[in-house]
Amino acid sequence: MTEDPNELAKEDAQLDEIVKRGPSGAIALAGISTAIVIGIWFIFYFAVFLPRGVIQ
Amino acid sequence: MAIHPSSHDVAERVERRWAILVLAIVVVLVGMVVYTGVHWAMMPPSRVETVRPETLHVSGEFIESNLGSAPEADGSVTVRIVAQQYSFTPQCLVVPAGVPVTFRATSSDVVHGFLITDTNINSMLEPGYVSTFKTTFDKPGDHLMPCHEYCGTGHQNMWAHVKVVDRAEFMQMADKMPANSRRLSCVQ
Repeated sequence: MTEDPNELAKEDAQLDEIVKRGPSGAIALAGISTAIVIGIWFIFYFAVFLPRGVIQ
Repeated sequence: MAIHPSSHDVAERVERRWAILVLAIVVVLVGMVVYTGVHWAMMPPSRVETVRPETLHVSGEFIESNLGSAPEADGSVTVRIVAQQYSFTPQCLVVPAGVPVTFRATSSDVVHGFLITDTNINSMLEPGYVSTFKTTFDKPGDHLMPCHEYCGTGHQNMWAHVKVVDRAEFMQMADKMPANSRRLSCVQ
């Protein structure tokens, strides 16, 4: 597939516009899933682990 | 910062913020583990106490007449257990609630697991080593003590009972011990 340099430059500029707006979708996905995992960890720590008592 | 940041700047900024967030999460989790270990002295056991597994039953602390719950002079209780393929001896442990209990256990053959359900007691028993744990049971109840470390073909049937009773009831049992036994258990 041959593209002339003008086409390539235009596509690059379009890409740049998209990238410039930031990866908000990726951040939302990664952020929510991380928050869920860490949240579950804390829930287990305080609601299950600590109530089961201290072992020494 | 430029009014119109380039795509490269945007990507770099987002990546830096995400990296900082992840680092912060790791620091908090590690901090909690350190706090649990240092403040409550709750961490994987680091003492190493050895014993000869071949002669467990003939001499020393883990002979059969010494297995079970032993009230100590200071009011605490020491429970001694031996694990082997495929049973725990004694198979039914009785301990008082609200009193410090020290478990001392070992294995006479292979590695076994040591876990009491609904508590944080969760470790392993290795032949040649004595595992020691100290805890206090809040209230009376029945717990299971399964072996959770694969130890052979009978592993799935290897479990004991732990009965937590009122301190008063435990002391009564201690007083009524028959003359020929010196340790308590609920084995029938």
